[in-house]
Amino acid sequence: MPRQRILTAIIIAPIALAGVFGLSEFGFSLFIGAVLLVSAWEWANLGGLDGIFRYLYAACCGLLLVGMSYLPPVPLLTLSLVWWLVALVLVISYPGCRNILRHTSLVLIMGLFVLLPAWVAMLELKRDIDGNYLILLLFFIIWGADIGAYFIGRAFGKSRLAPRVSPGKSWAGFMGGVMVAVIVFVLMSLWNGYPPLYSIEGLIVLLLCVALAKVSVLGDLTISMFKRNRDIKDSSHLLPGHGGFLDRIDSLLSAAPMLALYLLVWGW
Amino acid sequence: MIEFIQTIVALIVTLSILVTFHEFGHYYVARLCGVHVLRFSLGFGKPLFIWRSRPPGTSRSSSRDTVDGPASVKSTSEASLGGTEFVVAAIPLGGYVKMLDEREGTVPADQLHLAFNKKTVWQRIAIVAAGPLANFLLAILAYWLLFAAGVTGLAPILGDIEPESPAGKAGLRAGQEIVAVDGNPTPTWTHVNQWLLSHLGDTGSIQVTTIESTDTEKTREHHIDIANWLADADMPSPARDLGLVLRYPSVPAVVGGLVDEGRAKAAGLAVGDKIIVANGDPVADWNRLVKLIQSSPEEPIRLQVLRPGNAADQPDISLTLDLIPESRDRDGKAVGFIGVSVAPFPTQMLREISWPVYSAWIPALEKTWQVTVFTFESIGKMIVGAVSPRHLSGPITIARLANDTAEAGLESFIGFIALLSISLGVLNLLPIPILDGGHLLYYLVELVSGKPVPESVQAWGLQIGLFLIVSLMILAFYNDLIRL
Repeated sequence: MPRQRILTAIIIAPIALAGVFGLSEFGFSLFIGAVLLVSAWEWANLGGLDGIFRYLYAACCGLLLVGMSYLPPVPLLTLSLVWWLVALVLVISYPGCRNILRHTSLVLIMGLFVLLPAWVAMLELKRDIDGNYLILLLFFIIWGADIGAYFIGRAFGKSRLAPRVSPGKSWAGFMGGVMVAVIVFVLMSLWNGYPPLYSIEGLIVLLLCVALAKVSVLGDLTISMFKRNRDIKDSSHLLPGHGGFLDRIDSLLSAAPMLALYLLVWGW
Repeated sequence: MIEFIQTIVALIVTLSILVTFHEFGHYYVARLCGVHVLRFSLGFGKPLFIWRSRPPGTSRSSSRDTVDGPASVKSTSEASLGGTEFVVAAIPLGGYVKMLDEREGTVPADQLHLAFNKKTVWQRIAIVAAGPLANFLLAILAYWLLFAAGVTGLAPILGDIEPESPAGKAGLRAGQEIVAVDGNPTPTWTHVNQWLLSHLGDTGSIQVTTIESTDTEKTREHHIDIANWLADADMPSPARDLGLVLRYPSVPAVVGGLVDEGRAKAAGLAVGDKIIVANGDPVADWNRLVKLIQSSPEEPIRLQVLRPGNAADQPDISLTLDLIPESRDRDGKAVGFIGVSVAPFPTQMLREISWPVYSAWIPALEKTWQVTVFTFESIGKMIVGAVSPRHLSGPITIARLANDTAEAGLESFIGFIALLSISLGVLNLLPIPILDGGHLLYYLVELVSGKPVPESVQAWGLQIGLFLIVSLMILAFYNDLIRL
């Protein structure tokens, strides 16, 4: 691992942890909003905008973020779920769908669906009494799926998951990631005592964790697809050694809305 | 589940009818103008069924001689064109007509006279305008059918008007019949509602003309004042908001219908039951029963019911039923609801209007025009913010309405098709690039300036148009989700 990557991680990780767990609800919303606005600036590049227009797009996103807090969250998060289904279709059909992705306007609209619901979702999670625990669970599932995919994929990976979008990913890694997410869930529920493992709620949350792990991979693949579509490797170089913000939070963007929707519709 | 499938089928059938008409308009005029049509597709995406017409240049006589048609190959280039492909594709949410066009692929020199982009501006305008026009024609046709068959509506005779309501303040009283709103004749209650709806979001006054039942000659004018009227309402009910109520003749409290999941059905009430006593008080008529139920949300009611026997040896039975009306929100007030409906409207409230077949097209044309203007005005109001964009409906609402109207009978389904066809026509005429209206705008500019709109402008237009349309679709879909 290059030194630069580790150095950046050492600086960024405490800031991220403090931002997510140490702030009040309002501070948290600003923190997540700021991260998403930088991501929006990066996304504008994926859409083919440059210079001042990238800042303009980020500014529009900022206005819309404020607007989001006045809308009822459930329909919004449902809409986001529909978008991620669309994203799944796009990822599967890539590069057949390049005809659609070459339109700047469409990519910019898609960006709104990628970014805005994640903000609403993170706020809804934070507002819950168990907010910090839920966010931690979400992070552990995403990281678990990511790390599991890396090691199991390296050991057993043969048939590739999405060769045209992200050649490094394998089916074995995907399954491994899901398995690690299950283990994470078991450990977390043993530690927290809720939900009980041998119960209907436990089973449902287990299934939810499996779904979250899968959706987090979809988020990763989707961002990769948009980057590949524009022949860009990293969405920016703001985090030396890690690429851009978008590359770091891609899985969170797809998984957070799903967890929040579950929370709002069925309760924890 | 069956309900769900039925709804999807209703949506597909409805959209297919509208889209086929729209695209046929483009197709037909394109052929008239001598443009070669490569493909006529109902739906998007993967073709499911393909049927090919004979290649152009095949004269009828030669194809009659040889059934399989190798003899029909006349000149190489014309044959390489092939015929028109008629396709039914996988995603049934639209359709398209693909014409021979230099902008969408190379066209050999000897086929250029068949290409869309080589036609004169007027011809291109005709081809593009033909789609929306076909939608309006479909609406006129549908209304023609409806009016010739006769439509039944409720006579707009007023019942007890609350003196403090806007209608009451304007001097409207029980027994008056509304004959016109803003000077537009209103033979039925539906007409009254339609003209009231066109005032949504307005500030000013609505002019209502009435006659007395005793003296039908003398008309009176009333002005109901409104301010920013129902601008935020999601599903506005204009008549109720103004306090306009129909006169309801005294009808016995006999159950005419039951809602499947309603509390009345759960309590054991059946169609035909006559309610005689409620909470110890006699129930004189249906109105009385409705008032009692509405004023008792989540409060128990004891009903004494007479159930008619169905044969001579089976006498009527008297039953006592207990039920608790469900609480529903109506304009911020809790209102009791048990899920029963009254037997069909008494005939003295109904009014049938029908026209002879040969002249029914006149009111059909009128109606289509009114709805078109109303649709344009509504869009305008949404843009300037006078009316909430929550009125916009997406596929889910359309599917539900399609299903409801199809269930309600052919008459209301045809009416719905007409309405939707006009919406589609109007929407396509909006001056947004990628819609027919956007193309028309380009051609109008071309007419005035004498040269085509530059490619770079069109490319920008395409992006802006896509953005607007996709945003609009998302907004409509979001509204649908909120209504679920």
